[in-house]
Amino acid sequence: MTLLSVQNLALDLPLPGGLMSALNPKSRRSLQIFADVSFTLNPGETLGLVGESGSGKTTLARALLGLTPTTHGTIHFDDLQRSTPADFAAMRGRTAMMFQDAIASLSPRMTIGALLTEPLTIHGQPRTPTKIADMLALVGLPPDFANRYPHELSGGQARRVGVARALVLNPKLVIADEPTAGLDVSVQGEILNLMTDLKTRLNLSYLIISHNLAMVRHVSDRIAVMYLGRLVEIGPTRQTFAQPLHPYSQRLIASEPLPDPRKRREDLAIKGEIPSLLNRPKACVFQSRCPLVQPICRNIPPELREITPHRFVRCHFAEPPTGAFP
Amino acid sequence: MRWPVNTRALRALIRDPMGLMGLILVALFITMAIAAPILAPYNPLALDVRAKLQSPSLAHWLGTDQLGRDTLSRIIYGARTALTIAITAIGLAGTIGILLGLIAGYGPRWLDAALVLIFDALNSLPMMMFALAIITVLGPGTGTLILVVVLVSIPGYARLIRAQTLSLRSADFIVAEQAIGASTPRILLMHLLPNVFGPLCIVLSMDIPVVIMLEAGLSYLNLGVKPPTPSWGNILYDGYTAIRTSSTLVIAAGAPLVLATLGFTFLGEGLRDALDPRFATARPR
Repeated sequence: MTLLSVQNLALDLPLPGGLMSALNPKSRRSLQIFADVSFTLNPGETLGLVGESGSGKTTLARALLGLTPTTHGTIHFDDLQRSTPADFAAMRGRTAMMFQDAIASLSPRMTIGALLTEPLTIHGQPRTPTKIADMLALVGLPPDFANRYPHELSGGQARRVGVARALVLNPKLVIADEPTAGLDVSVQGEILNLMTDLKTRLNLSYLIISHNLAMVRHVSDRIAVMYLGRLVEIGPTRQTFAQPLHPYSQRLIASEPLPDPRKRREDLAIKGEIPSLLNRPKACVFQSRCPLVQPICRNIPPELREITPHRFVRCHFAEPPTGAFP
Repeated sequence: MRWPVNTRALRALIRDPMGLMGLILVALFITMAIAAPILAPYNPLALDVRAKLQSPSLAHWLGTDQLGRDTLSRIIYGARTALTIAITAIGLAGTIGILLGLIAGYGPRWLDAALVLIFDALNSLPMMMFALAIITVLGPGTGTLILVVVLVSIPGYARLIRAQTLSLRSADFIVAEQAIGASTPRILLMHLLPNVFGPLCIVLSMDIPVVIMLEAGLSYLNLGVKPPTPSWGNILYDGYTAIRTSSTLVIAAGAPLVLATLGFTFLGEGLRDALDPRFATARPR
């Protein structure tokens, strides 16, 4: 049984056109934010979604919770299809979101205490007198934080409040968008430990979105690599990091700084810039930067194939990993 | 929830001489309006034809009008008329403007376009012409006056709130509220409203003198508050007809009009400066 299952999800945003496009529907252009996104998330599992800035990670996360509409594809949560606003409204409370900018995601004129009890009020759940203090204690904050305002918090404290607010309703799925962004390393560690600790205590599933590969590697069971709105590789974290199969994942993982200054992977350096969404390459999205590019890559879009059990790669030339798995 | 009233802003307002003056004048007129029955030495409607058009004396501090009514009492009751109309009209227009602005800024695009079209249409009418047209149709009176002010003021307030709402509708904290399942009314009233209210508050306080002037102007033309209800505009008109005999009446009605307008304008400007955090920090001291 899967908790969240996504098939062929896509989002196209229409571009504003002039008079000609209003008269001629064929000349209308649209911007593809992401397309053909398919993956599953099991209960109690952590899936890390990595990719460069602008690859569509955050928009995808919002679409999964129905906060952004989609144009194609289906989302199943708890084995029910979620397509209409009412469907998504029915799953609020069992899903939660942690935002990249923790302070900005707290309503500025409400106290932390009011922000923590608001989800209970909205969902008509009873609120015990100690609830606020309990939630604050769960994330390691003293009870007097209940009277503070969001702008009085530090980044790490706001992040903890974000965790508490996400967990007030005992959700099953938490989507965390860059949970460590803007925090210094020691606080990053505290937040990640808090999240993993709460995951085992409350049996949560996480979808963690980040471009911080080291962090994702540390907390995820599986990772999904996104490039220009496409998932190019999904697989178990250890195997994917040890032997990435898609040329983009190979380069992304190789680009991670190594602690040893003598080790350099010049052969796997990634060249060029991520293409603009306005002139997305046809067929394979990575063709403009891929060293292995062949005519087929410019003509036939590759499908996400299961190369070896549990490992999916979107490349015409991906092969099963060679040699013994380290 | 925290409303944009804080002690820092209040202190900044009192430190500003113009703001302080505005505050004192406004407090004075509000006291006059509320305590009119206690403050007024005579009944403002009581006629005493034998004592008509008297000059200021100990019995009648500001003299009397053509019908022998005590001018001071009429001025004090006139404050009540002016403020009641101004505050009712601005309050009503503010409330409707806030709601329409929130709906336009947060709602679907077609609704926004439709509302903006209506605001623009109302805005394109010159205020006085529009007021005269409505008064011609509905007849003069306090209710008509309030209706005119409400119709004329709504577009400005709604546009202000709409612009603020548009800039906040996709803010993280609004998306966060959607993600926990907050209803649209809840998002509008509990999360957007407190964050867009501050600038409107200033505009509302600066519009009160405009309404006071409009009320006086229309009452002067006999198109506003109906005599014998005391209004500064009515008194001014009585003074105009009697100006060859006595100028007391014109001065007595003109002074509070000027002072009230100045007071509310100073207060509004003082509030604007006091509530603007950039201004507060940029200030030496």
